[in-house]
Amino acid sequence: MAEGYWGKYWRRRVSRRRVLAGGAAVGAGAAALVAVGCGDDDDDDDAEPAAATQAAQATEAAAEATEAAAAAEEAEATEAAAAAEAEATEAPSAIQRGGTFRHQKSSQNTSLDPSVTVTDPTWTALTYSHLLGYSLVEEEAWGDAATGWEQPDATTLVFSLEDGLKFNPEAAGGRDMTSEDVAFSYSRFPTSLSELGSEVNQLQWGWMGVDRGASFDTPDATTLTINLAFPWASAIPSLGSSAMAIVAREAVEAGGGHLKDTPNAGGGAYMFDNIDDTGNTYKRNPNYRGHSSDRGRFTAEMPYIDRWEDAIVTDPSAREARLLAGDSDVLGGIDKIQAELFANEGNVQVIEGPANDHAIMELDGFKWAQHPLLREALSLSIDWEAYIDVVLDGEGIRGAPVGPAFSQVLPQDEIRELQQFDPARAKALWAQGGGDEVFPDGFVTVIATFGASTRHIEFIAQSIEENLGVPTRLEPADLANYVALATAPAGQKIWHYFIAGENSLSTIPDYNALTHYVPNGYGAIFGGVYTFDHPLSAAYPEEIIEVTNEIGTELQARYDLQGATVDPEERKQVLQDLQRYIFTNFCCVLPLPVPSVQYYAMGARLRNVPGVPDIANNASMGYRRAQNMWIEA
Amino acid sequence: MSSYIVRRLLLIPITLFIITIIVFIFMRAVPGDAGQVKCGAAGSFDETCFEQVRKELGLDKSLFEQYTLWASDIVLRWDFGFSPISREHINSEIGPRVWNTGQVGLLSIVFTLLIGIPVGAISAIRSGRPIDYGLRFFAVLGLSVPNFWLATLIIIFPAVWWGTRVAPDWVGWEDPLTHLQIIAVPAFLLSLAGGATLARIVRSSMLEVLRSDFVRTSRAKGLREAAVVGRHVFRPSMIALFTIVGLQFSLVLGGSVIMESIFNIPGMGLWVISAVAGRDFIVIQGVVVFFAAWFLVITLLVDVMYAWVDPRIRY
Repeated sequence: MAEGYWGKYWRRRVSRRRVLAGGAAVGAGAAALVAVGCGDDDDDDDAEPAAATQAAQATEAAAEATEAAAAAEEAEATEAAAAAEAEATEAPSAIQRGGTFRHQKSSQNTSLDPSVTVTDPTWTALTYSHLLGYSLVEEEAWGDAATGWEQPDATTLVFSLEDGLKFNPEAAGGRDMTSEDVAFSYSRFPTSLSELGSEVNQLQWGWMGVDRGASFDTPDATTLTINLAFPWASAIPSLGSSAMAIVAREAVEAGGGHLKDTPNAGGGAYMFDNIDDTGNTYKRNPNYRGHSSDRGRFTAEMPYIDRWEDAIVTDPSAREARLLAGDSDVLGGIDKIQAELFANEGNVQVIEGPANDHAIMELDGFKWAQHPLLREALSLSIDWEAYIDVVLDGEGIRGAPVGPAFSQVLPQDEIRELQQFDPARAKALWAQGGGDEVFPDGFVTVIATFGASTRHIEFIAQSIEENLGVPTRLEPADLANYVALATAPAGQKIWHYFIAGENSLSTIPDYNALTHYVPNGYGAIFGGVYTFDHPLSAAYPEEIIEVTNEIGTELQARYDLQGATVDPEERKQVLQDLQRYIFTNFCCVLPLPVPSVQYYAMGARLRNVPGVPDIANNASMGYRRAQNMWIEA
Repeated sequence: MSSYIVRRLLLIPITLFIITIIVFIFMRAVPGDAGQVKCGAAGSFDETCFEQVRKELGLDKSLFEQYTLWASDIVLRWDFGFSPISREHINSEIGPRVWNTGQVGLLSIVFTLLIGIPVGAISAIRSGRPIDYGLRFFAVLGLSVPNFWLATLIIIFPAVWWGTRVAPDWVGWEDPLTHLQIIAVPAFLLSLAGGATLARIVRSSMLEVLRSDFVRTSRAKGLREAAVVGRHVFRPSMIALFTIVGLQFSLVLGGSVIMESIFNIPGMGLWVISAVAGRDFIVIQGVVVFFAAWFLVITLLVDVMYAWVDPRIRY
């Protein structure tokens, strides 16, 4: 049998001595290398100070030179940036087409169905058309699939669709998209909730009343009439949500009634090219035709960017490094300190603007509804102003059930009056309400292990313990069971209060924090405030619902009233009364202070990035849907 | 020796059996499952999808049935199962991922040797002198400083200072230089603790040998110091090396979980992290069993090698 050159070595018996000798030789060689590097370490005593002095002088000189250069560079960079900005604003011809938008995120999404997922829902928005998009910054709606609309009366909306809309080639064979597809897509929501466990808040679609008598008329392929079950003042902004995607019926049917595993079921500007555990890529949809005219951030021609990438990068430092090194175009929301650090980074632009966040302290209605004194005591025990100083680094305002960007929000002075910090009164009310008997083991709250910061939760827990004398156990939860813990069935929640925040859907005053107070919003599923009228009330025994029915009914009635009040001034009054009612009843959500400014870190090469708070908003024209955004080569 | 190896080999399946039971039970004790993750985790109202995924994963069966099916698939068909999250068979994923983790691991062992042996040797030869104290200080530092902290610094600072990354995105061997750049940094970081341990062990082993009678005799015979150290001290001191290298093989697997996450290396560590987040029981169980089997085999090899290189050791 022929053996190759290496064969004799394979067959050769290796002795113990040889192995040790080999190891020693390798070690000795390495030692020699290190010794050479370490050698001669006692001959340069005289030379060292001189060298050190020279080095110090050189360092000083270098520092001066660097400062001067940095100043010059900064000035140049500022001038260049200003010039580029002016050029981009003034001369549309400067727009560059092509390039890949390099997005990054921490984990892959759990569902592809836009009617189901709320975990970063903007990611599927690239692949779908929507009737329209709404900008909170511009306070304006722009037609996407719709060229225009009118509202003949309080409950009727008529939309005209673009001619020649098509699905992508993998969705329904790339056939024409019609008004019937829009009607089908909107009709799916109740089923998605009852059968698919949709995480999409009911307020995003419930206003249409699809399950309460609303209907759709489709007289022709490009006309859609929505006949609402009841008037809804925020109908147009609500349709801007990325959940309101237009899907192909055939794709839903082929997926077994859902799109959880179906990547390309729409007719958006892009379609999925690849999805795996390293991320997703998107390419242009060859069937996409653009719009018949420029409308806000929708372009008449094709969107400027060619491709999109979503890289899964689990480590936050790695994500930050990728942005700083110019290898990614998005880091996401950052705080004030990070914004200051990033301000002079060449590969980063910090987008800054008035925030429209909301943050809440959700009380489990089932545990708290019958104890108004204890709810008030809890609120009085929290040092709200210190929260702004400590948690928000002094850059915050008092939160309310309506977001700070809306004109209907209560004035700051009034909020301070309604939501006070008074530890003495808190203790008195706690004792009067028998708090120690009602909650003998203290409180439990959930702390997310995947969150960027837990300062706010720790502050609240500490404030309650210091001022009310009630300890809180922090129950850690990862992404997999965080939502499950939050939405555990009434009577089975392990927590007494749950601190959460989001700025994902804040284009309508009806949503924002307000949605958490009402049974037909998060108030039931999250807050446990069920009413006998609630669609899911049948799932629970009567004695559970009885606990929260009274206050839930009142909240829902007031909420429904503001939604049906179309006149802006009248609606403002109703909304402000509702906020006062919530503040004075402390049930069952306590609004937390929120940042007054929002910072967002994006790649410096991006142009026409939507402003804050639109930027990453799933309900508005954030960067995922801004077709006029472009990349400077 | 042969009977010892046979006994150890027989112990491996028993140990693995116990490990599989522990892993299986612990995973079921964690709140949430892949059904909840996959179907949105929205309370109890996603029955259709939830039941479908649970059925697909066999989670609707009794614990005993689930365990028997899973374990028998591995034993009889070497089939680790199917991931409902990635929609991939574990077997087809495991090979490339082991290879990716293995590359980092092997390189880290090379670094461990390159750091540990020379540092330990110099420290022993120059015992009690400033260089010995200096090297021992760095050895303690290497042991004390968590490698994930260093990794974060190494990731962030070059990006802040120079606008670049020391470890780019994973490319594979299509681009060998970039690939080496990617694996070198985590490998180096993984090797620091092992290198420091090895340095300390090499130092103490060499000091022990340096004080032996036969070394004194060698010197008395008039041998040059280099010959004494190189020929008579170094070789017997290297026995400890096998223990450390063997342990390093196992530590690499544990360390890979954090390093792969930080450097985004598609290996076993990153896989298991994603699987934990997605409650992908099948992947977690498969990876843990694989890690355990790896550890058992390496430990056996180290023990055998130990006896082989040191005639005084008899099993």
